[in-house]
Order: sequence, then C-alpha cells, then structure tokens
Amino acid sequence: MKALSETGKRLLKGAFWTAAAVVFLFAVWLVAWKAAGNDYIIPSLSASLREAGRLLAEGAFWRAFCSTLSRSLTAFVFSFFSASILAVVAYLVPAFGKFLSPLVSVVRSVPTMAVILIILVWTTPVKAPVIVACLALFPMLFSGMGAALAAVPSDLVEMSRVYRVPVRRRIVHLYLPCAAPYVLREGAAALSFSLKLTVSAEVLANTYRSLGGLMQEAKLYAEMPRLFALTLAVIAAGFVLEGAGMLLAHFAERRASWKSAL
Amino acid sequence: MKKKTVFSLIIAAAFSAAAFSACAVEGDLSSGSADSTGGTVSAQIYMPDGAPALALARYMAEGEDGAEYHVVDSSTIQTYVTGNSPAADLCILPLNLASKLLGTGETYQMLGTVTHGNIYMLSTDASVQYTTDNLSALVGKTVGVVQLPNVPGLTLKVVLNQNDIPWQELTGDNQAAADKVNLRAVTRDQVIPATGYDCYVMPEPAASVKVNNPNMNFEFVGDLQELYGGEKGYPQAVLVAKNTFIEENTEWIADFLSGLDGAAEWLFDADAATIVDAVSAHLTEGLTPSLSTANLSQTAIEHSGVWFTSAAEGKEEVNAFLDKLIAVSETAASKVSDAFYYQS
Amino acid sequence: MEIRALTKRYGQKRVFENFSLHIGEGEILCILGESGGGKTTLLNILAGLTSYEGELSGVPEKVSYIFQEPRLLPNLTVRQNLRYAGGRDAVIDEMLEKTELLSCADRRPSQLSGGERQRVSFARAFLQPIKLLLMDEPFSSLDTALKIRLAGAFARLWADARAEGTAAVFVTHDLEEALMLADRVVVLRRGGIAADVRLSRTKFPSPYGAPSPGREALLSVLLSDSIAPSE
Repeated sequence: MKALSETGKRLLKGAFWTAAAVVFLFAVWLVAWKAAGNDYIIPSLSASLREAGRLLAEGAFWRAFCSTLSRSLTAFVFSFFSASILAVVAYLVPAFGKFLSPLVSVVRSVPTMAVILIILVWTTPVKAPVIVACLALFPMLFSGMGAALAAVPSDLVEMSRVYRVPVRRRIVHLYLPCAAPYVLREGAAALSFSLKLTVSAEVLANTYRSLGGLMQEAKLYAEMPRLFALTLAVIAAGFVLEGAGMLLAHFAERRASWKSAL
Repeated sequence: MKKKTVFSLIIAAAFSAAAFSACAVEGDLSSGSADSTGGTVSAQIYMPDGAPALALARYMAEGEDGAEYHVVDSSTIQTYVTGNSPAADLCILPLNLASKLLGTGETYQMLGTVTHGNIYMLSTDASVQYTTDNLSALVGKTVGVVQLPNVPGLTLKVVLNQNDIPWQELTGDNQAAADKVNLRAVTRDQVIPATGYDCYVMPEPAASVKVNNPNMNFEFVGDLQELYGGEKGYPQAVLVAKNTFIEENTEWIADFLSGLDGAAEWLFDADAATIVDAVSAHLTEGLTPSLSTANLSQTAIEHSGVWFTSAAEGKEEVNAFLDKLIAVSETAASKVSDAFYYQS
Repeated sequence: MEIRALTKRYGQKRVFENFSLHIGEGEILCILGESGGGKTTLLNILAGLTSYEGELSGVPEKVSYIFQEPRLLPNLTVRQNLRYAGGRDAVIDEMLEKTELLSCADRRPSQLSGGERQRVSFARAFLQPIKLLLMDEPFSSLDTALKIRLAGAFARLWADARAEGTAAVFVTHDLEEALMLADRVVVLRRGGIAADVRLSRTKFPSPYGAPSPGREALLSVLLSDSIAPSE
C-alpha cells in the first residue's frame, strides 16, 4: 500500500466501494429471489449469470447490441449537436431563446413512451426508438448547455467585448474551458440515458435485431433468466458509457478548466 | 462509523428485498384450497384477458360454484402456474407457453383446448380471398403481421411452411423479395391503409374493429385457422389444472368440463354487454379491458374460435401443432410428454 | 471628445439627464463621486457596453478598459491572457517589463497576488495603441503601498500613450487617488457636474497624500452636500 501513489490509492478505494455496491445488489437479488419463490417472477442469480455467459457467445446478441448502441449513439449525437447549436443561438439572441423556451417545455412534457405508438404509425421500428430518445434527450441537453453558457462569468465576457477578442479565440479560451466540463458531464449522463431510452422504445416497437427486441422476445417466451441477463447487459453497457463519458470530462477538466486554475 | 455503515446496508437490503417480495407476493396470496372431504370446492381459476376469457365468460356471469375467477394481463399469466406454490388451480394459457412451462405434466395437466385460433387476414383489396389453393398469391407481397414473434406470426409461418411457400421477415436491413412472402412486424395502430402493405394479419376482436371502420376500407381476405387446419382451426389456448386439484376434485372437474360446450354456445345468445361485464368484473384492478361492447361484435365472437376439445381428443392435433411451431422457432414451444394430457 | 445631452435611465431611476462633458486629448480626467452616482455607467457608455440617449463625438470605437477587478482568464498564464486580449509577443514583453511582471509571465492568475493581477490588467490596457483608456476604480481594495506601486507602473505605461494623444477617464471615490494621477477632476453629483477642477502638478504621479492646490477646492465640493437628502 505504501508503494501506491495517491491516485492509485484513490482508484483502489473507488473500486472497493463499487465492488461493495455490486455485491450488495446481488445480495438483494438473492433475498428477493428467495422471497418470490418463483423463477418466472425473479429468476435465480446463477441462472441469469449463466444465461448472460451464453448471450455473450451468441452472434445474434452482439448484432443486436451493436444495432442498439448505434441507435442510441445516433440519438445522442443528434440531440447533443442540435442542443448545442440552439443553446448557443439562444445565448447570443435572447429573443430566440425566449421563443424557443416554451417549445422546449412542450417537448420535455411529451410522454415519450406513449408517443412511440403514434410515431410508429409514421415511421419504422428502426427509426422510432431514435426519435423517442431524441425527444427525451434534447430538452435535457439544451437546458444543461444553456445553464453552462449562462454560467460563463459575465465580467470576462464583457472584458472580451471591450478588447474585441475574436469570436474563435473567445470560444477556445473562454467558453469552452468554462462550459465544457459541465457539458461533458451532462453528456456522459445523457449517453447512458440514451441507451436506456432506446432499449425501452425498442421493447415497445419490437424492433428487429435490437436489445429491446430480444428482451421482448424473452418475455414472450417466458425466458426470465434470458430477460434478466439482457437487462444486466444493458446496465453494464450503461455503466461503461457513463464511465467513458465521465473520464472524458475529467480529462477535459484537468486540461483546461476554471477549477484547475483556481 | 464502520458499524453504522454495515447496519445501514443491512437495513437497506432488508427494505429492498421486502419491496421486491411485495411485488411477487400478489401471485401467491390467493392460493386455492380444495375440500377433499366432499365439502364446497374453492377453485382459483386464472385466464388472460381477451379471447381466452370468453371461454369462461358464462361461468363468470352465472357464478360457478366454488370458483374464483381472475382475468389477468396476458404477459403475467405464467406467474400463476409456476413457482413453489402456484396460485392457479385451473388456468387458461397459450398452448406454446403451456408446453414450455408445464409440458412435463409434473405439476399441471392439460384438460383440453378452449380456443382454436382467432387470427384473420385483412386487406383493402378484397379481390383475392386467400385459401390453401391460392395462398401462393402472397408471394412478392408484403404482409403486416401484428405480434409477428408470437403465436399470430408463428402460425402464419407454419401455414406458409405447410404450403411450401417461401417467406422472409423484413427487418429494415433487407428489401422485399419478389419470390417470397415478405413479413413485416407491425403494431395494431399501424394496421391502416396508409401503412401501405398488401395485407395484414391480426387477431380478433381487433380485426373486426378495423373491418367495421368505414374510414379504413378493410375487408377480411383470409382465415388463418382455416388455412391451417380447416374447420378445426389450431389449438391456441388450453385449459390446465393442478394435478393435486384434479386428484382431490375429480367430479368437480368433470362437471366443469361438461359445461364448457354450453358456455361456448352461450356467447352467441348473450348480449355483448353481459359478456363484457362478466369478464370485466373479474379483471385485475386497474387493467384496461381488451373486450368492450364496441369490439365484441357477433363476427368477433364467431371469429374467436371458442369451443372445447378435450385433451384426449386433441392430443394428436396439439402434438402436431407444437412440432410445427418448433420447426419455425425452437424457443417458441416445447414437446410435451404424455403425462401432460389429462385422461378422464 | 465630447459628450452631449447624455441621458440614461435604469427603470424609474435617472442616472444622467442632459449631461455634457468634454474630454481633452492626452489628459487624465478623473470622475469623482459617491457610490451609485453613475461613474461606472459613464465608463460603460464610453466603452459601448450600455445603451444611452445623447451624442458622443470623437469617442473611438475601440478603447482599453482597466476594470475594478483584474478580469483575467484563470485557465491562461499571464502571457496567454495578454495574447488573448490581442497583444503581440514583442509588445507583451515590453508591457511586462514596465509592470515588473516578466518573471511572472508563465504563471496563472491564481499564482499571483492581488496587486500583480491588477498590474497584468494594466499591461493589457496598453497592448494596442488606443485613443481612450477607461479605468474603473483600479486601485480599490489595494493597500496604500500597492496603490503607489501600481501608480508607478501606470506612469511608465502612460508615458508613450500620452505622447500619442491618448486620453484617460478614471473613476474613483478616493480623492487621494484622483490627486495622484488626474490632470482634471470632475465631481459628479446627482447626474450632473458639481465641480470641474484642473490640477497642476510637478511630478507624475503625484506623491500619494501630498499637499495639492486642488485638494481644498475639491474637498469643499465633496463635503458641501454630503448630508443633503438624495432624490
């Protein structure tokens, strides 16, 4: 332990608590399984983990996984960039921001899972989950980015105006360092959320070659261990996505942020 | 601080387990009990909402002595016949599910088939009525199938296989083929002319609602039951009973089964409101009923294929249908043992 | 430069009403007045940061502004901050030398003292040739020794700028600061000019707190209405 650096110790501690949380969750699962006494309500942990092992060896699972991931990334990227552009325009043109605000509220209020039934009439089960995920992600990202931009110190913005700092320089040295860490963290959470939304929509839309479609099929044929194994796979993927996003945000923060300079 | 953390974790685990268990307990609360000494029989009878519930609607309307009826969400039906203490003494469930869960006959036996298919083909173009003679006319066309991965879709594939007609599922990665029947999964709401498919396959009573809608111009163009097995249709939903219940209540079972034919005929004489009320009165609290006076037309009742075939009579037919389902999808059904069939 | 018939209101509050002011070329004009009197508003109008009614003539579009707080980007070093404001390396080095900050060029603002940060903002103001320099209480919250030191740095920076005819408008509520640097002091009161006093000096900057011919005149103006009720 002595030989470990501070960072190493911190990582080890973090890993310990994460492992403890996982063990705790599995313990809860075991207790619940015992209490339910019915594998068609809660399957055993061992059966689910065995099924998870089988899933990982199936080509069909990986094809479905890649399709679902691709859809959730598409929804995320589209929402992120459209939210970024509109948030910037709203920041620069307050009147546009006021115009956009009620529209964003409407989109935020749309019951996305219910709306998928309408969307499916207009489009295919492949596109519908992407649209649903965008409807949920866009307002979240737009608001977050708006808040990040508003949090850029107004005195520095004023100074930049007075000294006629070119826009590109302001973006690179003022706006990005201030807003990026916050936006990246929001983005990391949104990435994981996108996966969850996409899978849920795929279940409703019964999308072919998708994790949601596999879950729907497992439910239809009463294969509960498979259903739980697929759920575990989605949770694990969500963890990885969010973790990757947080790591990116962490590095961005260390490289250029207000915090590191204070 | 460490002791506090551990204690908090334990409390949290206990509450979490209690929460999970509370969701599970409901299925076990109302276990049936039977009086083996000749007293009043108390049977817990479960069935999914929809056409299978029609099979016992008369009993629910008139009140079968000793039985408590539960009309539940079809996606939860398996929880009432599985587990350490299954709640259902009798249960109606889809045959393919019954074969997978109960096919060994160790806990439950099949008393008979109560519905024989309720899946129909619709189209805005009624110039072709599909029979086994001209089913190949579907080749090159796109068919929208409601519940494609489930029994409707499986049955359609069985029918196409039976008639040596090639088919493929349209997934978004592939294009419609001119030399195959192209099957596309759709939801009920997508069964509209605007979706643009050549025909649609969906179960009753929703099919009749579409046909009766003057804005849609849909007509019936095919009967999947007839395409599969002629007048007999195919064994769709079966009635099972717990072995212990059968042993202790043989006479009651015989009486119960003897009334099922009459219960099927009663559907054509009773008015829709009576049938709907009978089923709805036993519906899980909060569940939206699938049957209503708006969709339970005479045609829909007729199309629901409700009549009773005993296990002994239908054994061969059931085994044949299961084999065909398994040929389409290995996970859709399982072979059953002889012990699965009730012998009166 | 002329300000004519300037009117500025914030809601119901009237900050300036038909206000006029002349700013001479090459002069350091100090605006003295009580808090909330419109001093910073006047600077912001000259900087183009706030709207107004009236006429400004001869006021350049591009100005330099030394704010009350340094307003440095915390993620950039001193040299990078000056580059951010448009400075070229050669000029940056010259300004850093004049402000005795050459050794701090690669430090971030968090690694500087308050006085050093303010000197950076002084250096920033002189990176480009400008016709008008605005200063909003640049010595506030600094102790006397630092004020004097900063004034010395300002003097070194100001020498070339004055020769090119640059004017400076410098706002403060501290009479000693005004006497240290200003060529002319205007006392602002209730949106108007209560006094306009030209100062003579033998040294620039004048020693802090030293006797000055203008001091008595200004003091009498500052004290004359000090207990008058505000509108």
